Amino acid sequence: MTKNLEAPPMSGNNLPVRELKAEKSPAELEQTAKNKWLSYLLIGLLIVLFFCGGLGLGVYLNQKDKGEVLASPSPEVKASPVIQPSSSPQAEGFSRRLEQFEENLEEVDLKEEQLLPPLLDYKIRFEIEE
Amino acid sequence: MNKKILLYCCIAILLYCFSRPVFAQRQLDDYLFQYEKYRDIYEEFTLARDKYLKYQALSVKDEAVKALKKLLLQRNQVLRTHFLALEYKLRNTAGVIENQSGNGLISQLDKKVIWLEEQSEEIENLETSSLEDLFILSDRIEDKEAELKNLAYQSLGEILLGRIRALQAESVSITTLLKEEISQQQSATQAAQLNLWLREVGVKNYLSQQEIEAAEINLWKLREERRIKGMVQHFSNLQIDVDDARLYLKQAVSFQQEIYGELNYD
Repeated sequence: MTKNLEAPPMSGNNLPVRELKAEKSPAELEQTAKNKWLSYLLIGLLIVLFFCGGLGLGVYLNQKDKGEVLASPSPEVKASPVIQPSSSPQAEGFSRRLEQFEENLEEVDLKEEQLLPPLLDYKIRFEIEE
Repeated sequence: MNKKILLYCCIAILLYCFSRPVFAQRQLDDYLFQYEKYRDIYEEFTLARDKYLKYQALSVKDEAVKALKKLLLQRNQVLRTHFLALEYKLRNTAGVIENQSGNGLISQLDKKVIWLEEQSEEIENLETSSLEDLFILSDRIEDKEAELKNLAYQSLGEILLGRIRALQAESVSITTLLKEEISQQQSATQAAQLNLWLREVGVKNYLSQQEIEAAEINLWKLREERRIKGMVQHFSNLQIDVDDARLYLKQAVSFQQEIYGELNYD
């Protein structure tokens, strides 16, 4: 019988020692790249959504005629059929409205000094006036 | 990764929260900044001018021309940003937008902004500017001084009137609600008493309305005025009227609160 001089089969204790945990299969690598790409896309989308929302809300609020003073009555303060003690929502709404109105009266700027016409030299001349 | 997403979300929310007030203040800040810059440039100009008048040399003349050109551009810029700030206020003041004259003023301000931009462009495009050329361009603004000031005072007057009109409308609206509440009172004696009090509120509302009408007359006089001194006078009268109207409204709200207190605790 001829002695088999070939290398023993790679099984059992003969398996080479390798850091298999550190390695990732191509499928896993692909999955990680995909996840990374997805999260970037998600962040981008979120930022775009916030800005679009902010812009839309800004335009909406501007059109809503919201100045320093609220002009139109809010619907929640409609008179209720029966006068309730101050705990009722209508009464609270009314009280808030009165407070808000008083605050507006105190804070309203009826001078607008910063926006008075600027003092400019309209008559620019090259003569020194005595 | 989750932490990163959370961080980006927080930044986005903060940006959103701060963007609106920043935009609201931007027009006014821009105007105030340009006005401050004008003051600095004006000082530089007077120095260059005095130097030229003293030495009458060609080199100092060039400096004077440059300083004058810079000053004219900056003067236009101040007027332009002032009008833009006024336009912003007109667009965002509650009692103005419903008013026809408010819209008319906005369109006039727009036209003036465009005109000022054209003037600045013309100054910038002067290739070999001489003092004479610059004086001609400067005179165009000088000729419009009264017109520009009239527009500014009118816009301001309309803004103040808009504010007080909105407050007066709110007072009337609250008075109406109070009247409804009183009519549903169970005690007839108390309802009669509160109605008498409410009449006092009505008087204050009426007096504030009278002041608003007086302010409107002053605004009309201001519109017709061609002398700058007269404009200042009418505007100052208008300010007094709107402030008086506010004082009446303050009395009205104090009465309204008293009536409301009676309604609540009975």
